[in-house]
Amino acid sequence: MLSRLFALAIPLSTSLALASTACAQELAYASKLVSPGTITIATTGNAPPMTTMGGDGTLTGFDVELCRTVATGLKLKTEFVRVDFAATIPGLKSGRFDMICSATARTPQRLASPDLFMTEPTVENFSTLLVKAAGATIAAVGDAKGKTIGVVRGGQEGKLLSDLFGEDVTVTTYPGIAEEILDLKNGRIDAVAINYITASHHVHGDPGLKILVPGFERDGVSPYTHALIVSRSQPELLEAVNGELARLKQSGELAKLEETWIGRN
Amino acid sequence: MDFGFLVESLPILLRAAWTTAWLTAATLVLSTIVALPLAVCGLRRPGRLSCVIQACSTLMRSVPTLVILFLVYYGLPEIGIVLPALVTALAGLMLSAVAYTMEIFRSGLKSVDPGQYEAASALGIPAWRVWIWIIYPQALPVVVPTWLSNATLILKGTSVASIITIPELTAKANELVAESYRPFEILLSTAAIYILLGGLLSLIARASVRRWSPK
Repeated sequence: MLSRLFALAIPLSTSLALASTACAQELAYASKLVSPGTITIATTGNAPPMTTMGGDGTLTGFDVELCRTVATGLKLKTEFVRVDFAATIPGLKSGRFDMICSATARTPQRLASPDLFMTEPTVENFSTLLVKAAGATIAAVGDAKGKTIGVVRGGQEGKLLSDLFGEDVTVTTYPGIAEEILDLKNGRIDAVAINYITASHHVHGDPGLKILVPGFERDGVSPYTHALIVSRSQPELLEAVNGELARLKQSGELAKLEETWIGRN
Repeated sequence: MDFGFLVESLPILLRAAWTTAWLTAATLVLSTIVALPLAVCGLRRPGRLSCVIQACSTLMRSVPTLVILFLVYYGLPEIGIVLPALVTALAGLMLSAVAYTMEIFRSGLKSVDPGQYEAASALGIPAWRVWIWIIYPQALPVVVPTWLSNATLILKGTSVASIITIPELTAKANELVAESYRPFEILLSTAAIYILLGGLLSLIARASVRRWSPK
């Protein structure tokens, strides 16, 4: 009798203990949020299809909707703040945001950064070239040698090109994707170095442009995965977000979001 | 603050600062040369030409340089005119600088006693020499401080050239921040470089006042 009681009591107490640690963990990140009950997220809103402004003027996109789903799972409200990309990390460091969602790549440097946490991967991607469909002198990414290639300031493609081709490539830096695609059409550059997901979004419905597949291959740079960024002062939040991501992956909700926003071209 | 990192990125910043410096210098020299005769036009007798110049000046001061640069660089290729980035940057920066510089010169020239002009022409000195040797030197003490503060604005204003792919200081600084996530080291050293360049401008302006103002 006594042993049967014990057998019942042990799992019960363990589950109680588990529940209480889960509760404590929840409280641990909840009390450190920028505003209580709400997760404050920085995003640029200018990197479709990951983060963009919808037709009704509100933020949307794969990353944004993913954050909303994660927040719902954590029973938190979301507060999105639109900032320049360069302002996201300083804002995170100075405690203005809890998280960043802005099509950020999960690079080795960022994983090693003492200023932030990268979550588990959300979606796969790679760097490649975007060329004009007609009369392009570049047929594969290796042909970039000796050509003039456009990149977006601060993106990973500029460094990737100089690592791969050194002085053999002329890199022109643009403030945004719209400008570099305009200049590709104007003929000042031979190709635009860009990631596949973003390129697919811009090529969609534009028969004048072509994305080169396969893309660049370089260890730790391309192919790569995207992830969300969590404040370094919030390890408990990182754990909770990772838990949610795992759940969404298992339930197929993540794949559904990917289908909706990125699709399969 | 990580000084090792600062030392590492300083050469990149300095190279970009060089671009900023000569873009500023070229804009200043060109806009001053163009503004000198334009400012004189219509100062004594307003005519049709001076009205047109005045209208252009108002227009150029109202339109942001960013818009001018964008339209010339990305817009003109639509009608088949593809200009290099540097030419576009210089032309755009100069166009908006000329308008301001001209107004600065005009206010300086107006401060000179009209009697000076009348006396000089009574002596039969040709008009262009009157302006260059008599009126402009007397306007200099009024013109230089304003010209200098405008020059500092031009120095900082060259950062808009980054939208048309010119690798100047602000553009490179932003690039480094995005790559390294170290905004404080980069932005502070960028500010220091701008202060140095501004200080240099101020020294040159002060030396030129001493050299050219009437004794």
